[in-house]
Formats: sequence, structure tokens, C-alpha cells
Amino acid sequence: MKRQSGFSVLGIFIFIVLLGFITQAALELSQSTLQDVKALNTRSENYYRVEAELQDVFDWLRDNSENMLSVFKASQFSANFALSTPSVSASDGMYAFPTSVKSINTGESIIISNDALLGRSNFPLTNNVKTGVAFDANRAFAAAGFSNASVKVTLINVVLSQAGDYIPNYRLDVMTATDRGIHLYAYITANLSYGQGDGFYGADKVELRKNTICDSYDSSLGGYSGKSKTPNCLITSLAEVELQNKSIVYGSVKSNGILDLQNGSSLCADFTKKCPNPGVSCQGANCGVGPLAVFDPWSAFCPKDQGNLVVSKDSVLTVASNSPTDRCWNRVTIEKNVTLSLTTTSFPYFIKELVFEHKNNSDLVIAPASGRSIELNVERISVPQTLSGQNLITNIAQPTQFVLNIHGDRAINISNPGNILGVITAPKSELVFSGNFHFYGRAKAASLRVGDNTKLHYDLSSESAGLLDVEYALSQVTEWYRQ
Amino acid sequence: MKERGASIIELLVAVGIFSAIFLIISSVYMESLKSLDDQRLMAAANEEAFDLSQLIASELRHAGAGLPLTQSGFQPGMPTLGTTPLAVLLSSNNSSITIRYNEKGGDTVLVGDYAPSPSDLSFAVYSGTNFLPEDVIYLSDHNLAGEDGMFATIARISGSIIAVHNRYTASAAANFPSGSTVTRVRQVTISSSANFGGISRNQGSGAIAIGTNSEMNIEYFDQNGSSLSPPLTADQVRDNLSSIEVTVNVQASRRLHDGNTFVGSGRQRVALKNLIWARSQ
Repeated sequence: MKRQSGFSVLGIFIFIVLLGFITQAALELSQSTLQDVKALNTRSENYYRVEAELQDVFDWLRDNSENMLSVFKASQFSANFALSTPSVSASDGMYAFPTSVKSINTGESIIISNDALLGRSNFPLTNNVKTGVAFDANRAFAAAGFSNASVKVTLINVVLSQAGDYIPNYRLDVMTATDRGIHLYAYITANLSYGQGDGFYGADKVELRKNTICDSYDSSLGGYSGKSKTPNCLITSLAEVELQNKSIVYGSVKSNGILDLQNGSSLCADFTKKCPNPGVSCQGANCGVGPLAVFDPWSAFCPKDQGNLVVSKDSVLTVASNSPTDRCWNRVTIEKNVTLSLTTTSFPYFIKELVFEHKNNSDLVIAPASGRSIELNVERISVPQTLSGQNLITNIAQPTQFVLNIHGDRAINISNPGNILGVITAPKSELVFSGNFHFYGRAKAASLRVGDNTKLHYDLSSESAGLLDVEYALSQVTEWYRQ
Repeated sequence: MKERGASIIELLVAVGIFSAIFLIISSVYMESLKSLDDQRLMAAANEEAFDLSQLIASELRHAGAGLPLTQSGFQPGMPTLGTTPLAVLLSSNNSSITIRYNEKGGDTVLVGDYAPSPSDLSFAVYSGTNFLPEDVIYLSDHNLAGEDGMFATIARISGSIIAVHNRYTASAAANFPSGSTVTRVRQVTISSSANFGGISRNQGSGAIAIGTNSEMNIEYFDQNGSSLSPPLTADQVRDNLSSIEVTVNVQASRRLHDGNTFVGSGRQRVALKNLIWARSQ
């Protein structure tokens, strides 16, 4: 009989059919689960992505808090912003939120964005409140590389602080894309932090005599003028502030001890005639006026020096290095009809005794390069009568370009004629400003006496005190999935 | 040589053998079909449980969204605003949870100052388009360095004027300056009935079934992963609650072929970001 064939093929066919059923069941079981898991993973990844980006942008704002704050100072706010009822401007982009703060130039809301659809970045140029270094927030934000999500930072409003500065509040929108995915937003509230402003400070006493005036300005914005002056002068003392008859302070006074505002003196919040709005006064330990640190002994700075220098013809004195043998002199004497110029800005000068042989005709000229500062340290200054703007010539644009540290305890008397710009610190000595004289900057001394007709112009940018930083906090975080 | 056909006996043997093989194959095939049917049923139950747990978890993870949790005088657990001592997690047990949150953004701001009083129940906003009557809203001046808050329910909207019912709750002497935020903060309850009686969601307008033949179990955990026993206290919500785990069990729509009842299960654990963020500020 012929061998029958075809059963093995049939068997294989049946086996394949059965295998197909089993595979189909397994695939159906896993298919739905896999689809769900994939959808869940995608959504979770989107959530994590925008949440991480929110945190990154928030950290960026915190990291740049000092950089982006200067425009919110009282002296700069109105030059950059205009306040209005909440509204949306035409160029605010998608997801625009009503804002109360607009650009003074364009009327647009203030936005920083990495997506043109969300609005154009237009945060004003700023300066670091501590260092003064210029900062372009728009450029820095673009360079920060926030590429994981579309981001929009909107300045939604500001709150006027007690100090007159403005507290910025933002809204931060972060989304997977402008048309889909996760949309997360949060409000960023803020608190300004201030250093202990000292202004014109006398540890033991500050005394303002007849017809003295103190006001303020911000030299980083330009020179002092009737237009640029502001009512933010600050007078402080650990023990006593005395405003005598006809003295006027446009700003505030603080004394941990006695606050003696005598009849006829004025403390004004603004420049309105007859001073109807009183300025801020604070008396008592809660005023928080701190002590003034004294310098280390002179020998700590100058264990050795170059000896004495007599300047008998017009000269420029430079400091070659920070070595005591380069930066220190025991005595420098400026003879009559001679001008000595200081120009070194890289290293400080240390002159134990600076002698002006003639009241008006021995001149010391402070002549730093533009934007640079000269630091002059002296133990004492010897001058026939008083130092004046005629023999201490400050050819500088900003007071911070001349830092004068007086280490000793001999009283310093500065008077007319001429004006002086500078930042003076004399923790052991009495500092006297007297007579028809303008001083621009700030001064701290063991005691400070301001004589008749002297005009003090406190430079708000002359010390890191005042507005120092802003602290941000997230609030009302809201997030949803957009199909 | 002449070919001879198969004998009747050979034919019967062949038919018998093929019949036996056919019966065996048919039996295996029928079992395969039953198994496939069971697998489909189990997959459907698991899928539904997974979807439900995901749906619930994705909602719970937003608890507190839109609420100014860092506002002093109004933090989760503080009874400052009277009737809502647990402003974020209004109730919590193993089978039910009530949260409050802003579902889909759409905030607006006041465009004029507003001091709520029984005689002044309306205020002007920039845009009322994202709001509906009976929406629960929260007014806050936290973004303006204020500490005032107000819960209210919208009575009517006319253009940019929102009027609220007089059953509002506000901080004492509340006064909201222009620019204060107005946020929808809906109260949502998700609860399940025992013995697979179903899971429902209620956002204030009546319970809507989101799962049938299902039940839910909720567990609460602190920042260290330790379990917190519900109902949670106000302090626990404010200081400890960090994540919630939702387990959803769904009973298959019919019995398996072996007569047993299959229960699908899905589990999700979510971090409560808003509470965690608020604590980190």
C-alpha cells in the first residue's frame, strides 16, 4: 500500500491556529494595559517637565533678584513704569493676564518669555543693587536656556513699601506647548529686604545747626539738581540726633537714644512748602541703628612704609601694588602752591599723616578714571585751618569714586569754599561740616556736627544699605492638562 | 498491478481516528475561546480599574491648586475663615475624600477696590468670561502683600460685574485692593460605596457616577512615607500630609467561565505638590 501523506501538514496547521488563539488572547490582555501605561507615562513626563521648569525659572528669578531690583527703587520706578488699573495690552501674547504695571515707554505689560507667542521680552535694563553692574534680564533669560517648556514671566503688579520702594509681584506661566499638554502657573509674591541704612551717621551724636539742609539723590542716575533731588535723606545715631532751629531734613531721622527735634526744625516727607507732611522719625532701641566698626590698628595695614614724602611740585602719586612698601607712607606733605593728584584705583592709598601746608593753596586732587574709585586711608589730616573744596578737589561724577577712611581720632573740619563728593568713614573722630558748603555722598563718624548753612546731599547709591534684595515665594500654584 | 480501494474496516478506523482527533481539537479550541473570553473580561476590569485610579489620582494631585496656602491667616488647617477649617482637604477617610482646588485656571483680578459686606455683594473684575453662576470663588490680596481672603459663591454675572450670594466667608474687615485675584476653587468629593457599589464624583451639583461595579480605597502618607490614619487633623494636613494612594477595584461585569468573580485592580500614588510647595516657602 502506498504511504499516506499530508497528516503532518494538517497537524502543523492546527498547531499554528491554536497558537494564534493563545497569542491573540495574550496580546489583547497586554495591549490595553500598555496603551494606558504609555498615556500615563507621557502625561506624567509632561507634568514633571513643566514642574521642573517652573522650579528652574523660579530659581533663576531668585538668583537674579539683586540684578533685577534696581528699577523698583523709589528713585527709578517712575522712570521705567506707569501704574494703571489692571488691563491686558495688545502685545501681551497668549495667556495674557491683566497687569497693573506697564512700560513707561510703550504702555505694554512687562514680560519675559522664551516663546514669541507668549509675548515679547521687554523687561527694562537694570543694575545690580549691590554692585551696580548693568543687567539685561531679557538677554540673560534667553541665555539661561529654558528649552523644556514655554515660559512666560509677567510683572502683574507692585506694592508700595514703607520705604517708598516698590515690591514686584509676578505671575509665572509654564506649559508643555502653547496649544497642548500641561499648563502650570503660579503667582510669585515678594518681600524687599533692606540693610541698615546709615546715611549721615554719628555714633555719639549728629547735630544739625541753623539753616542746614539734608536731602538726597541717586548719583547712579545723574548729578544732583533741583529735579533729581529726593526727600530720602537719612540721619542716624546710636545716642542722639539733634535738629536745631531752622535745620531741615527731607527724609528720616533715627536715634537709638535721644531724638531732639527743636522748635523751628523741620522733618519733611516731601518738598511741599511749610512741610505739611512730616518725615519718618524713630526713637529708641527698636530703631535698629548699629554701631560703627573701627578699623584695625594702623600697623596692621602698614607694618612698614615708604617713609615721608614732601611734594614740592605738581605731581601724581600712584600705588604700584598692594604691598605695604608700595601703598603706605608715613607722612605726605603738600607744600604751598602745589597740587598732588591721586589716580590709582587698583590699590588703596595709606598715608598715616596727610599734611596740607596751606589752607587754600595746597591741593589734593582726586582724579580716578571714569567709573573707578580711589580709596584713601589716613590716620590724621593736618591742615592750617579747615579742609575745603578748594584743597580737596574731587573731580568725580559719583561720591563713591572717593572713599576716605580716617583711622585716627583727630577731628576733621571740612568747610567752604567749594563742594566735596565722597564717602567718608571716621569711626574714632569727630567730623565737622561747616559753613556754606555742599557735601554729596554719605559720612559716618564718632560724632557728626553740621554747621550753619551746610547742605548735605545723601547719595542713595553710595552705600549698599537701603534696598538690598528681594525674596520671592510661590503661591496659588495651578496646573491642568490641556488635551 | 491493479490498485485496490480501502476496505470498509480501514475506512471506519480512519473515520474513528479522525473523529477522535477532531473531538480533541474541538475541545482544546473551545477551551481556548473560553480562556480568551475570560482574558478579555479580566483585561477590561483591570483597564477600568487602572483608568479610574488614574482619573482620581490626577484630580487629587491638584488639591489646593489656586489657593494661597502661604498666606498668613489662611493656611490649610487654620480656621481663620470660619466654616472651612480644612480649606484644602475638607474631609478624608478611606472611601471618600473632599478636596478644594482650581481646576482649569481662568483667574481674573479686581479692577476696583472691594470691601465685602452684606450690603455690598458685587465687585468689578477684568473679565467674567471664565466664571459661571454657582462657581465657588476665592478672593485674595496675597499677591498685593495682603492677608485677606474671601470664599463666596457666584450668584450672577453681568459682564465684568460678579455678584455673590450673601453666604460668603471673609476675613475680618477684609478690603481687597484693585489687582486682587479672583480664582475658582471648586470643592470636589470623590467617594465610593462598599461592595462594589460604584465610585462617584460630586463638585457641588450632585453626585455623578464615574465607575460602576467598583470601589475605592484611599491611604494617606506623610513626607517619610509613613501612613496617616484618616480622618486627618488640621495639623496633619498642614504639616504632614504629602501623598495619597488610591486603589480602585473593579468587579468584572460577569463571572468567569469557571464560576469565579474576577476583580481588577489599579493603584496610583500621587504627591500633593501644592502642600509640599507651601511648606517649602
